[in-house]
Amino acid sequence: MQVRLEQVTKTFAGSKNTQATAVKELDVTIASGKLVGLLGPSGCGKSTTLFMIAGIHDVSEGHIYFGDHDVTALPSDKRGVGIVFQNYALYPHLTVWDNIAFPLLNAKEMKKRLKQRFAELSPPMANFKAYIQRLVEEAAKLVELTAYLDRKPAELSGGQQQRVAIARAIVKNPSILLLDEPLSNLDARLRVQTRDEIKRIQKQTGITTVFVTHDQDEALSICDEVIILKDGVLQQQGPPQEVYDHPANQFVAEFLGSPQINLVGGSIKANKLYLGNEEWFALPESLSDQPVNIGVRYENIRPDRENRKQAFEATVTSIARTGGTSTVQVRLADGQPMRLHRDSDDVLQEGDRVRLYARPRTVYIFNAEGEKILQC
Amino acid sequence: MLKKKAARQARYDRSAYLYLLPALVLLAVFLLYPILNTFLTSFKNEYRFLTGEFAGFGLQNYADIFKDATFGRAIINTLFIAFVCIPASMVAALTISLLLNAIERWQGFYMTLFYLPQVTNVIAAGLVFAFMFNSNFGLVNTVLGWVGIDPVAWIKGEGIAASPKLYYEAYARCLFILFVYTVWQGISLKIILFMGGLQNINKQYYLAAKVDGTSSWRIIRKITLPLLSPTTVYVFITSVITAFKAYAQVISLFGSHYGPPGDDSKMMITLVGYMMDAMGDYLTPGSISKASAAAMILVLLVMLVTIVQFKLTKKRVHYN
Repeated sequence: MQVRLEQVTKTFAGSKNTQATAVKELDVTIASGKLVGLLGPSGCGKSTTLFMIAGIHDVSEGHIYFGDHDVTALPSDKRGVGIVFQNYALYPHLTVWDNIAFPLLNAKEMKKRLKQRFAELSPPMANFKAYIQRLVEEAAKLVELTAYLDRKPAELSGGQQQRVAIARAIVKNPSILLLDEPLSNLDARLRVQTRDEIKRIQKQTGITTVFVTHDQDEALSICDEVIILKDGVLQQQGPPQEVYDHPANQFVAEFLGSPQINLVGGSIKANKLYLGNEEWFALPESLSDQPVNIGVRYENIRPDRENRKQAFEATVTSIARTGGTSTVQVRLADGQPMRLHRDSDDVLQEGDRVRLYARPRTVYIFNAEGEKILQC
Repeated sequence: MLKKKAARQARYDRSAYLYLLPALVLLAVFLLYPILNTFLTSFKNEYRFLTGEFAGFGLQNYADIFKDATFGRAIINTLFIAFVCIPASMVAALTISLLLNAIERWQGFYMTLFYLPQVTNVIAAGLVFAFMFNSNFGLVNTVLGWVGIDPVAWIKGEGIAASPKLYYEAYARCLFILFVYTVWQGISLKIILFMGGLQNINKQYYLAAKVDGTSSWRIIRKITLPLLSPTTVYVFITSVITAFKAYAQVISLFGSHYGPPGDDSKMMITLVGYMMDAMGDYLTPGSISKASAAAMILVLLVMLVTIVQFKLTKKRVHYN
């Protein structure tokens, strides 16, 4: 189901009549059946947004639509969402089976819906209990936990607990699945494994899924789309690669990509771009003279061996070799540092003078306010 | 190598015991010895407290107290307090705690209010309760008068010895007062314990249940109560011990003759009361040993209830 946020604002009352705005006039559309990441640093309002979609937090202003249906005033249990909390919130006294079955045996409404689905089954099943059993087993099978149904959560690993939480969220066949920092409680190796797992489960079920993360690697690797927030304000939305290649502003450029993008001070004078004090290249568009920040990613800086006009000179200050690649730090003529990636078998030495270049379309030019003014 | 390790461990143990010595000595002198001594004394026939003489070991004291009608009353009254006041005060405390936990405003204020009985002197509060139930000018009769009910002679025992009917009516009224006071007195500590247990439950369980559309009643039954069970067991066991030790409230409500004025049967006596009376009568041969035998019965009862409780709830208590 498509989720649409229209001018959604969330303010929390602070002490002494102050108000904190967690989310500000957010306009976002999440396409049906997609896996979408809400991404941003701590305190950017991403979890608040997720909880507003879930109906756990009220919306201060604006509207939330599921499909064409305005759910802004609908309580969370009427929205048909499944949610996985950061620490899973599995009921510790219940077995995995009971945890997964919990939402099914809940409210009258849920039972009514299930009974109806049960009546329409083809081929029909003998009894309702067996149907519940089947739903739980299907969910357990989807997250590959069939062998653990009799265990208590404390007897499972973190990754397995995570999957129980996912099974509990999807067993009631939600229209939307919400995950709050699903990977943050797992160790690094398990994290990679689990994020692929989430991707697989999402593709298999086709449920529109929104997940919150502060880890850009996580978002870039599994999302169909990312939504980047900062201080409660939408920065950019789009497919991960596109957002990575075409950041809307300096914040997005800095936030995405590890290692962090190179940012070097420079200026525009007479429609020419200056890197530090050195003239770099002529701009294809006319822009007013101003100081600028120039962003170039590590992998886009290369040694110039063909005497290009758009090359610039630098001195190698240090080389850090890590396996197949090394990170080379250089100093520009005016002393500003810059880093780039090279193969480890490169013959560069500390103190070498090198000529470097980057293709103009990989160079982002930001003004003093951090807005992107040009990417050739 | 192994020998060396064992030697080091022994040295380590020795110094640990040395540090523990002062506490162990105190425990032995003031706890272990009295318990053993009470146990032995309870089997000494015709034991004289002042001289320490006795006529051999036997079950005479136990036979004596079980023949004593006052001891029977003490057992019945103590069991009454345990089986009526513990469930009543636990249900009341749990209900109040669940309500208190659900409110946000004034929570601290109400918690202070409910804690007040705990910091009130048992005797003083008991006297106030006795006053409230006074037949002529008590608050209870005044309130009953407002709704058109004739004054009740709450604590009255004149002439009851003549008729079993009058006796049991007076007994029922006194029990009622005793129950009300005991529940009131015991509820505050239970509320504090339950509140602590409730606030230890992770709020995310409730959020998760809410998103799944779980009804409040089901949340209480399936989430709150199971997760609160360790607290409930703790409250229950301490309540059992407190209930079986009931004494001060009886004295403060009914005086040292354990009954309404005019009663000479020690109608409201408890096990501890029985022991206190026997000990006060220490000059009579066999009295102290009878008190010891009663103490042993008390210990047995508490142990029995606790063991039964453990067996019954073993599977249903969830410890994290």
